[in-house]
Amino acid sequence: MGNLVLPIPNWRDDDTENSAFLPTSGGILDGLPSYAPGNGLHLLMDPNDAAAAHGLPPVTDDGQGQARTAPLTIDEADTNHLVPGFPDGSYLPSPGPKNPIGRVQGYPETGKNAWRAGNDDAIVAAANKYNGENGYFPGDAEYMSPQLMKAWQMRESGGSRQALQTDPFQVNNPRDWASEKYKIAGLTEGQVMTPHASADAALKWLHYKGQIGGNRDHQSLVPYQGLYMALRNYNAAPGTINGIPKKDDYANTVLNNAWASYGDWQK
Amino acid sequence: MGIGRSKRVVSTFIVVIAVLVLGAQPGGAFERKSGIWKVLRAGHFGRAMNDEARAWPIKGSIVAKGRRYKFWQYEWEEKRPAGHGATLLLVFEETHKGLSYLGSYEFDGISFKGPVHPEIRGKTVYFPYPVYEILGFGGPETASFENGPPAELFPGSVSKFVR
Repeated sequence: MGNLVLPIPNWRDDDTENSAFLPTSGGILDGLPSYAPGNGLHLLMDPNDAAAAHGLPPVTDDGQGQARTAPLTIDEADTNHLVPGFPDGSYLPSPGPKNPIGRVQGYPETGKNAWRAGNDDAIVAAANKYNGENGYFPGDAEYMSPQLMKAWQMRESGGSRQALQTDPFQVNNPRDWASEKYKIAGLTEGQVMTPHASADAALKWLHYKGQIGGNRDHQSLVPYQGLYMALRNYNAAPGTINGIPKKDDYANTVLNNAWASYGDWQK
Repeated sequence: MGIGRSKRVVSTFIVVIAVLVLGAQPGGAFERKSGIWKVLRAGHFGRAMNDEARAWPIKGSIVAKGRRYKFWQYEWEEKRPAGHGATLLLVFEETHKGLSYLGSYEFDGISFKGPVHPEIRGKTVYFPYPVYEILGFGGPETASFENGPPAELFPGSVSKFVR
């Protein structure tokens, strides 16, 4: 019985031992399905083939006058010829906010609750803008620290993900619309809110609320009365809880929680 | 008889489920539509009229320049922890056709001594705010309706007459 004769494959290393890997006609990769990002095959493919698979012009230069002959490796990026689906940058887990404020007591933000720190940068930006534009410094009655703002945000949102991702300060609640919000805080009724818009508008609205005097002042505009009165008027809930007005309870809770979480937040 | 009872049980179950589903909708699905709420809707009142809101009449009326004014107190409070709220004085005109909504004023509905309920006194609405005795300020406020609804609830107040 004679030996079984198999067709001789065209192995790539027959005559191109030291050249770049290029799938060749009749090679072991022939006949495979077309390149699909993410299937791992791209790691074996020449950039020209990968580019061609996406309908991009061929790769001829690596930006330094050298023809690129080897496929990209992990953590390497050809900035001149990025392949869609594999953007430049780190693929490590998200590093979190650039300006972390720290946890508010009662609202964990480690592990699976890390998203609760997601507005820290928006809060820091809004507080800096508000203080900077108005010339407020630590120690001024009107000064707003990111720590106080974050404690206030948690009280308003209840730490709920949905609220934190839309209107964390609940400043444009559709059932709480007042025409002054347009003039004072630049809001429009029914406006789609983002954490940045919410933080900016909430500071303006809080400052306005802090200028509304009590009945001793005929509920007229008076010089800013401080955070306690501002928060109290911001909430404006009717009724009492444990014998004290709910709006006072609200202001107390925000300020006490900020203190318990950060100490003297004004510093 | 057994079948009839089963049908009643099933019907009751369906009604209970429907009420639970409707009641669970965000923002309070239960909208108030009858009584004073019907008048408010006809007058395009812009605040909440669901189960987070309540209103009650203020005894008496004010007759000024041939028009009769009636008043209600309105409260709204969000059903969530730290929910916002508002207290309004609602102003209506009473004619032979009934009540029609004119507008409202927001006011501080609670003092350190508890809720504040306005009263009609002559041609004014009287707000019985307590005096801060130790500090020596505070006390009642009055809003005059002698010339109809004023533009501001109290002189200089941020509380404007709004529809």
